[in-house]
Amino acid sequence: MTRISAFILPAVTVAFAIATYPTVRNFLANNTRTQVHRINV
Amino acid sequence: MTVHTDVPARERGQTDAPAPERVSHAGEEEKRRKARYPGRQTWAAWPAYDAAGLGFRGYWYPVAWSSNVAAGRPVRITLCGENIVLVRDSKGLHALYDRCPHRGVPLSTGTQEFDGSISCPYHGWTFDTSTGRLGAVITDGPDSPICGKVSVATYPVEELLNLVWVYMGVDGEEPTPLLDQIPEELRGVSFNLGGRIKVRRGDWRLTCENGFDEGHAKFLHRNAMWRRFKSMPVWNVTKLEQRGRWLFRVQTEQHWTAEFPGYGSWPPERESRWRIKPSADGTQSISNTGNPKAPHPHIAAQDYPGFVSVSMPGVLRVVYPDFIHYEFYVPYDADHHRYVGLMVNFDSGFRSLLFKAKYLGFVRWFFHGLFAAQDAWMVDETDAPPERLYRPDVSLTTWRSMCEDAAEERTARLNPTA
Repeated sequence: MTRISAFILPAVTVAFAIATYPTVRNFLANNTRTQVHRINV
Repeated sequence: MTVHTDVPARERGQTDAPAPERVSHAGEEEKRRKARYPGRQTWAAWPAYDAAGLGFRGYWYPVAWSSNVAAGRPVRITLCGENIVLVRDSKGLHALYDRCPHRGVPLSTGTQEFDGSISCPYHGWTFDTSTGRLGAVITDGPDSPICGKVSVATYPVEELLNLVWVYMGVDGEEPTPLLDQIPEELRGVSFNLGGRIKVRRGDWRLTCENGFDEGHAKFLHRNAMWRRFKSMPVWNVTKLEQRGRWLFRVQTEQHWTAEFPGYGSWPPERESRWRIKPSADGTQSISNTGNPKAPHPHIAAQDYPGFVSVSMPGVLRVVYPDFIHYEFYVPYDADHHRYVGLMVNFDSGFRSLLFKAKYLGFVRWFFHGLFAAQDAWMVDETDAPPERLYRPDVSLTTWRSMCEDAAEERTARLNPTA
């Protein structure tokens, strides 16, 4: 249990975040309703 | 201009009550305006506003996120009752009337067969995206005699703040600079922006009035998750103050509890148990929750007299200590409006990331989602006019008068000899 909580779960979480980052970023950038931006002058 | 809500008792709730005294006008125009204030059952006292169900002309309106209009993928929008197709090509972004003059098929269902053009999907009528002129008819050969004799209307279109803005004027009218319409505090500064765009049911005027409505937020939104743990006053004494193009609600008194004769005190204990108590010093100029937090320096520098303000052609600005929330009520058709909610934060660096995470993880759902949905619900349920206004509705009547002033000024500008 300790090994799962200390190593495996964080590793899976990070791997999932890395794997889905392009999709999530693309979804956010092209979402027709909600978007976030940095507006620079 | 300053208008107080403390209208004499004899005027309260009376159908023939005159509007509050306005001090910005004098002379014949003021007499004429007073003469058309006999009652508030209808909107006849504000004829230009009454006729503006499809919005006011002479303004830029945000209609879509820029990234949603990609090259080769025309997008159809409806603005002020007119169907418009947005087209992006190598020459930039274009807006054309979305109807092929041949058989009335929407050009937005067509394709971009040649750069700088859009073709109707039916017979291949191909229009120049810059001028709207019919440049070719694919099914009639290169020498089609109708070319150059037909065109579709085009609209001024620009991109700013990662949004597409379309100018709705009258034929031949030169658009005003878009930057003039951007809130002054957003010009020349960098900021973070989170926003939500959605077409909703309801007349744009009703949803704009809902946004600037003095009385509604404290009661309607009291249990919204966005406000569930913050106190809001039971009632306020409010005056209206116009600064430049913005009309401010200025709260001169905030009452956090009240005793109602024959009923008892409000709010009950169960309403306020989990809420952060308001600061002891009473009135706050920024936000309506008694939040004593010092505003961001850029926000503080604006020296807003009140935390809620509205401007033409239906833009609401709500100021909080660390962000500003804007709502653009964009006329869609007579029964719908496009809600463009923007939240702006002036932090930089790592705090920008925190803002974006907060927006996507919380604000988008609980403020621009659920909280705004309560407004949308009320707008959908509102059935006015006829109406019977009460004291806080001076916020509405003053806004309508401001619209009237703007419409008259525009009419005079376009028809200087009239």
